[in-house]
Amino acid sequence: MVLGMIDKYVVQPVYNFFDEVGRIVLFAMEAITLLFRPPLFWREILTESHHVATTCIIPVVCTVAPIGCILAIQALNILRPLGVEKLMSSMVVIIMVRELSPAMTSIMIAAQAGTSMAAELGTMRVKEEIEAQDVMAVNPIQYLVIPRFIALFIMCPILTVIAFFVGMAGSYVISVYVEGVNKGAFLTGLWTYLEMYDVGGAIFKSCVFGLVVAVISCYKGFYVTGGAAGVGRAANDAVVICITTFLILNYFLTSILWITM
Amino acid sequence: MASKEEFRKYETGEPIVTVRNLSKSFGSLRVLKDLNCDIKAGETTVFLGPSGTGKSVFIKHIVGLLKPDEGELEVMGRNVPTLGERELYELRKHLGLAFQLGALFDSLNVYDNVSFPLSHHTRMRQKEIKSRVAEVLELVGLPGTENKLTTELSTGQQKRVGLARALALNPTIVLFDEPTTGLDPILCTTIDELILKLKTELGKTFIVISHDIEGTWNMADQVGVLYQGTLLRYGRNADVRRDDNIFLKQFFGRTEDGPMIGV
Repeated sequence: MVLGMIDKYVVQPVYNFFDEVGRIVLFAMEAITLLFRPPLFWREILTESHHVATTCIIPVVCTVAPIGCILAIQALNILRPLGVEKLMSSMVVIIMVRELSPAMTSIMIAAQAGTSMAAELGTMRVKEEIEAQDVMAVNPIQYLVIPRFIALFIMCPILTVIAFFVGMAGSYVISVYVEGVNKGAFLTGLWTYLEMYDVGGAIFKSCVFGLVVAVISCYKGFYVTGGAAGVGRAANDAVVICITTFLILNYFLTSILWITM
Repeated sequence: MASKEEFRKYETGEPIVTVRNLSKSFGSLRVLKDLNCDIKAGETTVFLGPSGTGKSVFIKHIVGLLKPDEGELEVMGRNVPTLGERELYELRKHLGLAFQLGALFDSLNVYDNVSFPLSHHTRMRQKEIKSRVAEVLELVGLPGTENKLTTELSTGQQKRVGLARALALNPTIVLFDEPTTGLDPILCTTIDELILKLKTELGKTFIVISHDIEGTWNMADQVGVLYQGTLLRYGRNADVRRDDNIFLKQFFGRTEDGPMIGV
């Protein structure tokens, strides 16, 4: 009885977890191997990149701009009583570049483009479109998955940079026009602690997050089972797994990139 | 190596697909059991049987989408289960499969669907591709539908576009997975007549998976009857039709009385 319960609630879930992780890794390895094998479907890469950019830009702007504003208010709440108001923009820019821009952009991309990819590929699987491509001697991973990988790998850092500027703009507006911070002090403070290494680190993070969205969303969609319900489950799983993975991975990436500084 | 050899031309009546002791299980469920048959070039071979007897699984083995647990399957001289991806894709360029539900790409229009294999596997110019697409659409009775979205088409039209796409590369073997399932009797007849017409006009090898008995008698040269994963009978149309086997009599007579159990 007890052994049965342990098997059902501990052993099986742990086994299933590692089984799924193994499958995702194998899928990613297959896709990355095929990335270097011609043909590369340029039209699909452009279509997917355009799709990611157009569907994600508004959600990214709409989430990052208020976060920039909030960050400015909270930073001033701490720094103003200490008389170091001029450090506010330095603090905001570092947090924005290193953490919030890549993380928030990736979360919105996972929610918008990732779910869309999982649902689209899942529907194609259910309707035998993926099998049809295979039968027509066109490798579906090359034709469907690789363009999505490349699109996310390219668009995630681009959207992160846009998110950074939008977030900083929000912060600037609140600090200067609402809280009365000196414009010159704000702009000078931006460059006090920020280094190119931070920008590079943020872009590296967003590339990794882009790949995570690509691998998980495409895997979940590509191997859908169970018809329409399966497609819904795949889209839901994709976004949950992506965001959880970002948050865990973000700690390790931050540790590697900045903890010793 | 077989894969680097050219695909030779097969004479009518020569075995083009050879199946030996083919078995396949999914978990504990044995779907195909020791299948043996020779499918001849230039003929129409129909595999009949009740739903869930492994007909679609069998066709998926022929195109290499599934690998058997045991047995051999040779298509145009290639042992399909042993082929690597490149060799399998070379073989598939000689096979055209019309899927049960069409399997058309929703995001593309009829032209893009039908031209898909042409733009990927030939060096044809746009003008030549356009002309070939128009030609195969004409063959399946859907001329001038190039710009329609697949979602604007009826089920029967979608099946015919799927068939046009399967024919686009001028394959040696054309496979149909239940071409008349879900269609009304008039459309069923239209599709059966279309297959007959294509056979007459193109002289290709057709392999059809079906449970439409009347349609089978009209179009088949060879008939195979699958039941619970076993090939009950395989032979010439007239011979199978006249067979005294109690299972076949029940199936052809469309009656519940007999040993055959619906799945």
